[in-house]
Parts: sequence; structure tokens; C-alpha cells
Amino acid sequence: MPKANGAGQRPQKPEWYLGLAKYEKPDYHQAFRQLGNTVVPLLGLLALMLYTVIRGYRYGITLTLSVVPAALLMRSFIILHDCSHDSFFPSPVANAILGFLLGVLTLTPFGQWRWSHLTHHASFANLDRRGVGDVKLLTVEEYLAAPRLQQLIYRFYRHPLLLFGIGSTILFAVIYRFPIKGTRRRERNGVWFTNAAILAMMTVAGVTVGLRPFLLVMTPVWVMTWLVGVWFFYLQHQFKGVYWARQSEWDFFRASLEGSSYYQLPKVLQWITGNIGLHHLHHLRPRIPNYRLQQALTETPAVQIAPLTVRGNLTALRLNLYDERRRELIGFHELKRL
Amino acid sequence: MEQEHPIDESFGEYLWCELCGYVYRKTAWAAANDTCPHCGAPLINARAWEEIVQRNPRYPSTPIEGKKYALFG
Repeated sequence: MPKANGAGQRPQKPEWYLGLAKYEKPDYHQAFRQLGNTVVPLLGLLALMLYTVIRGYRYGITLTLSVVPAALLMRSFIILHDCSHDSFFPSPVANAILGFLLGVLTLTPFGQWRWSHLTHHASFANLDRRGVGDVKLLTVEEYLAAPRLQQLIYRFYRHPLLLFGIGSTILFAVIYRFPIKGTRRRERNGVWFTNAAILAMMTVAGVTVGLRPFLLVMTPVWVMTWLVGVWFFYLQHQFKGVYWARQSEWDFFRASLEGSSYYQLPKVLQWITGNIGLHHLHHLRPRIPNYRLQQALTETPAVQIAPLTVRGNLTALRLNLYDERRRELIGFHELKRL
Repeated sequence: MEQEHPIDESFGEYLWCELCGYVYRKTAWAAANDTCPHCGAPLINARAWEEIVQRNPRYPSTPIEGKKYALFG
């Protein structure tokens, strides 16, 4: 951890942390290349799916085809995520425009999502700042002190089938249609503007190809993207051995390196998810574009932490409460042993 | 207050809040318990004014403290 450099002064940042600043450089060439190999094939494959629906092919063929567009839409969401950090293009205007357009495509109100995500970056792994841009998490004490009905609702909410199944669809399709508490007028207006743009997109689709074919194409793509997206977001800060702390003890470096996962994926999945598995590094330096994260990791030994394993990935599903005494996440089944 | 905030020592005198767009001197952030004096965002959400100017060449190199500057001017 960084060492203080004198009484009353802030701790000095480690050299490796300062060295990571050189990767915070958005680049038009890499950004356009990424757009070209993501959004262009995405639109092409959606058109192909539409063709199968309009031509009356069996819907199973359309559904089979939807896997690749869903993967590309997932990657598009990571680009949106970069835009929210103003790190995809060098131009803030270009980031805002692209973020909005990708927001319409993924049914995400860009401005509000940006606000909640930036708030998340200031509150992650902090037990006193839960509530914005994160997956709801209770401590053991909070859970035990809650009325029975609230406990049941929490258990229901944390059930994988709800959280990753129907929950992800409810989040993107319904909850994101409304402003959330704490946002400013600009973000609130952005929500309605995004809704209007989505409505316009559907109207154009209805007039040209028909609303039913459009929804038959987009629904499986959206649902798969949202499901995997929420699963990844969950794994980023909820896993065995994760660091969470109260505000008085919260430490930025520990929260980044121990409170955020390094989810090492096979290369194809890493490409699809735009390096978001290197989440610990993303929290250390949020303005490193996704297309520079792997290089930053490779060239910085200090951030080459132990990756989350497939087993750890599955174990994380059973972690539901934070035990402040043992300083770890536990499952409901472990409550009896406390 | 963050125990070890991520602001680089290389950051200049003014910090821009990425949540509300207002600019204040580092000393004003410090006086507000290391939060944005306008919206209360923590220091993690602060960006160096020099970086904002680099991306918005029309912005002055010395901003007016307490003024809102949109991310793109």
C-alpha cells in the first residue's frame, strides 16, 4: 500500500500506479477499428435474423443465429461503458453521441447510467455507500435485524434465477425506463429522451419491417446480453475473499485490487466482453480504454493478481451476505453456523 | 474521506467534478472534506482541469472557480 510522505501530507502513490496513467489515452484508430468489428457485424447479423423471420424460416434458426449478435451487443455495451468514462474516443462529444446511440440499442439511458456508474466508482466495496449502481447487498447484522418479510424479499432478490434471469430483463426493459432517485434534471431528461428514441426506433421498425419481426429478432438478443451483462457485473464485486469495508477503513487501492475481480477468460470471451474481466485494473484507472487494458496489465506486474477461477465463479452464486466480523461474503446456508 | 485517494500528484491547482461539471481549487475540495464543494462527490470523481482543457481547447487554462463547465463546451 502507498506510504505517507510526511506529516499532514497525502500518501505517495506507488510508481506502478502513476505509470498506469500513460494508458489513459483514447485513440481514434483503435476506437474506429473496434466499432468496425463490433457494431458493423452486429447490424449485419441483425439484418440476417430479420431476413429469416420475414422469409418464414423456423424460429429456431433465428434463435440460433441470435447468439453471435448477443455477444456483439455485449461488446457494444462495453463500448458504451467506455463512453461513460469519456475514454473511448479522444472527443467528449463523440463519446456522448456514441454512448447515447448505443444506449438506445441496448435500452440503456446513457446519461443516467453514466451518473450511476461514476457514483459506483466512488462507492464500490464501501459498506457505507451502497445503493447506487451496485447489486444490493446486506450485511449479516442488517439481514438478521430485518423483518421476516424483508428477509424473504431479499432472499428472492438474490436468487440466481431472479437476479440473472428475469431480473436482468426487468432492469433493462422496465426499471431503466424511469429516472432514479438522486439524479439531476439533465439525467432525468435523458431518460425520457432515450425512451423517445427507443419509441422512434420501434416506430420506424414497425413501419418498415413490422414491429413483430423486429421484436422477434431483438428480444432474444437483448435478453441474452442483459443476462450475461448482469452476471459479469455481479462477479466483479461479489466473490469469495472479496474486500468490503466501512467508510472509516475504506482504502482505494485495496478496494481496487482486492474488492474487484480479475476474471481471466478465454481469448474469445475476453474479446466479446471488451476486457471487462480486468476489472481490478479498470477500477484503478477507469479512464484506460478497454482496448488498452490488456497491454496495461501485461506491462504492469503489480496489477497481475490471482484471477477468479471458474470454480470461484460458481461459488460466488451462493454468496449473499457480508459478515463484518469475519470480513467475508457468506451464503444464507452459513447463517446457522454463526 | 478516502484513505488513499487516487488523485495523481501531477494534477494541477483546479479539479473538475465529473458528476456535476463544477470546478474548484484543490484547497476547496480539501475544505469540503475531500468532496466536490458543489455536489458532494468524492475525490475519485475529480479530474485534472488540464485534461478537460486538452479535450476542450476553447476552455480557459485557468477556469473560474465555482463555475460549471460541460464536458464538451
